[in-house]
Amino acid sequence: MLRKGFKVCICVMLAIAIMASIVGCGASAGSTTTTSAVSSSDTTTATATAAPAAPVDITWQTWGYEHASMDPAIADAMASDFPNVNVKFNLVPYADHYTKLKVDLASGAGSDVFDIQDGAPATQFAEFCEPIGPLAEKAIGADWQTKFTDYALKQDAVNGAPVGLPCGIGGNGVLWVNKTLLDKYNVQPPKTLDDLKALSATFRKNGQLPFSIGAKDSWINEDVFQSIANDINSSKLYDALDGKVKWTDPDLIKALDVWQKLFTDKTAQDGALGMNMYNDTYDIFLKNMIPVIPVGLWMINNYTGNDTFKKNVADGNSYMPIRFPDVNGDGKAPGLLLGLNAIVVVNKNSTHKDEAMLFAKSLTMGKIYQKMLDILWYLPTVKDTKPQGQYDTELQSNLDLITSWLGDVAGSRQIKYPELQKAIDDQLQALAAGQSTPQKAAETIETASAAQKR
Amino acid sequence: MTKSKAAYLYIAPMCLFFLIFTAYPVVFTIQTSFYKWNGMSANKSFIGLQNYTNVFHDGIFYIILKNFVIFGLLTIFIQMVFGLILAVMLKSKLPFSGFYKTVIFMPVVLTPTIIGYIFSRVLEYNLGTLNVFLRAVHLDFLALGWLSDTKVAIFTLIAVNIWQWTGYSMMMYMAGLSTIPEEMFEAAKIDGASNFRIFIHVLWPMLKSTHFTLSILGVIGVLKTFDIPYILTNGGPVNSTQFFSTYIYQKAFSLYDAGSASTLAVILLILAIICTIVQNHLYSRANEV
Repeated sequence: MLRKGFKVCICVMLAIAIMASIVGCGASAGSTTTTSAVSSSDTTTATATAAPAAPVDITWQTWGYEHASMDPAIADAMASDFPNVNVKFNLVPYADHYTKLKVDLASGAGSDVFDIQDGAPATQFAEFCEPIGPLAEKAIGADWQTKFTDYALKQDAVNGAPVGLPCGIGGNGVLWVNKTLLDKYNVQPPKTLDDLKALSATFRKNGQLPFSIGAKDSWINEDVFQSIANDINSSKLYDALDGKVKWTDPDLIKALDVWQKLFTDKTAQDGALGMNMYNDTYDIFLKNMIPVIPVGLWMINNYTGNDTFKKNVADGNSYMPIRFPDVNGDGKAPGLLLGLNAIVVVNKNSTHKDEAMLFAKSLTMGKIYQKMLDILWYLPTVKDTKPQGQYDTELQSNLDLITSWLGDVAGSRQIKYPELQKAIDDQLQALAAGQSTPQKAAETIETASAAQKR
Repeated sequence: MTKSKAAYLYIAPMCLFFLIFTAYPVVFTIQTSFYKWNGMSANKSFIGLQNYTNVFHDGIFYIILKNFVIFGLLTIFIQMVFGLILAVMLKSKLPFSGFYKTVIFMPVVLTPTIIGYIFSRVLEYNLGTLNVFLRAVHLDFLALGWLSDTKVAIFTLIAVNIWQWTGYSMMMYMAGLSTIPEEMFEAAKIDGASNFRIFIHVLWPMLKSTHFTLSILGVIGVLKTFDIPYILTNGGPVNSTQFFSTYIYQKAFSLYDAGSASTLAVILLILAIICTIVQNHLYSRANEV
C-alpha cells in the first residue's frame, strides 16, 4: 500500500513540475533591458497627468535604440521628475520585433509602449493601439497635433486617424558616395543614370567594385525602384500602389525596365542578389571598397554612432550623400521617399496608459527626442526642432545638404499592402536575375494589385 | 488503487503535455487554415477552402515541392554514402582517427547562425573566399553566383547541408558497424570476397536499420529545413530556395496571412504522414525479405 501511495505521489509531483515548467517557459525575451525613469520636464507645456502615488513600471519594446541603452546622456534625459515611473525597455532585433509583437499582442500581453513603422505595420497593428487622441490631449494639450509636422501626421494615420505619436523622419531617395574613392579615380558624383553607369564602368575597369546594392533585401530594391519610378512619373506610381492605375501603364513598365538595366548593363555589382544591404554590402562599403551605395538618410547617424565609420573619417576618408540620379533626363533628381522612423504607440491592454503616454511624449517630443535628434538617429518630426549636437565640418555640411532636400518629397517610402509588396519584391528580383521582362513583371504585379484588398 | 488506474496516473503528465503542445496546436492550425486571419486580430473570416485553392494556384508552392524532392534526395543519399565511407575508413584504426572524428562531427554542433555567417562570407560572389581562390588559380569559369544565381543557389544549400550533417551520419554508421561481428568479414575474406563485394553484400545489408533510421531522420530534417535557407538566401533569389518552413514564416510574419501559413502547415503535415507511411511500409517489406 505504501509503495502504491508513494508512486501516486511521484506522479502528482511530476504533473505539477511539468505544469510549472510550461508556465515558466512563457517568459518573454528581449535582448537587453534597462530601467530608467521618465522625464516630465520636457520641452512642451505642463501636462494634466499627475505623478503616480506608488511606483509604476512600464515597458517599451523597440528595435535599434542601442544608443538609448548605452549613451549616458540619453539615460540622463530619462531621469524623472516623476520618481515613481520606471521604464524597462526591450531591445529586440528588427528581424524579430514584429514577430514578438504579434505573439505578445495576440495573447493579450505586450509592452505598455511599443514602436511600429508606418505603412503595412501601422495598418496591421492599429487595432492593438490605444486611441492616441484622448491620451495626447491629456498629456500634451488639445493642440497636440499642431506640434508635429504635417508630413509626420500624415504618415502616422491609419484610415484618417493617428495611430500613435510620430517619432522622427527617415527615408531614402539618396545615394551615399565615398568621395575619397571617387577622387582616387577622378570620378565625379553621378547626377544622371548614365553618370552612374559610367562610374561603375570606370571602377570595374580598375578591378574595383562598382555601385553596389544588396539586392537580397527586398526593402532596398523597393527604395531604388520607387526612386526610379518617382522620377519617371511619381503620381502614377502612387496611384498604382493604391490600385487607381494599372501597373501595365507604359511609364511603370519603363521604370521596371530601367531597374532591370541596372543589372543587365552592369551598373550594379555582379552577384547582387546574393548580398544583403546590412551587413554584406555595407561592411564592404566601410572597408572603402565600394564607391556608391543606395542607403538612405539614416546613414548620417554613422558619424556619431558607428565606430568603424568614425575611424574611417578620422583617417581622412570623406563621404557624402547625393540625390538619386536623374532618370528621365529633365535635369532634376527624383523626390525623396520619406517615412517615419517609428510610430510610438500605447498598448490598449496596458494598465498604466497615462504613465505610458508620459514616456511616449518624452520619446517623441521631449528630452529623449531631442537627444536622439542630436545624435542624428532621425530627422525632425516636431516643428521648430533641429539637431543641436557638436558636429565637424563634413558632418555639418552633409546635414545641411539633407535638411535642404527635405522639402522635396515624392511620397511615402512604405508600401501599405503586404501581398502587393511581395509581388513587387518578387518581380524586382526576377528582373534583376534576368528571369522576367518588364512587361511580364508589370502584368504579374497588376494581377496581385487587382486582387489586393484595400 | 488498482494497477491499471495507477498506470493512467503515470502516463497522465505526458498525455497532458502532448495534448497541450502537440494536439491542440495541430487542431488550431487546421482550423485556422479555413480562415482569413492576420494572426493577431480578434476578427477572423471563415473562407472555407479558399486558402487551399490559393496555395494550389501559387507558383511558389510548386517550387517548394520541387526543392523538397531535390533537396531531400540529394542530401539524404549523399550524407548516407559519405557517412558510411567515413565510418568504414575511421573504423579501420587510422592514425589520429579520434581527431578526424571530432573535426568531421564539429559542424553538427555548430549553430546555424554561425554556419550561415561563415558561408555567406565564403560564398559571396565578388569577395567571397571561394571565388577569390578560384580566380587566383585561373578557374574563373567556376566562380559562380553560389547564392545569387537562381539555378545554383539550391545546390549550394544542399552542399552546406551535407557539410553540416555528414558527421552525424558517420557517427550513426560507426555505431551500426560496431554491432556487426568481425567474424562476418573474416568469413567473407576466407571465401575470397573482395573489399568491394564485402561492402556491397555484407556491410550494406547488415546496416539496414541504420539506413532506415537515417532516411527517416533525413526526411524529417528536410521537411523542417529552415535555418540555413533563411540565413543564407531567405528563400531567394526569386524564391528559388523556398522551403515549406521559410514560406510559412514569410506568410505568417511578413505577409500577415496566418490562414495561408496554416494551410501550408497542414499540407506539410500531410506530406510528413505520407512519407512516414511509405518509409515504414518499405522497411517492413525489406524486413520480411
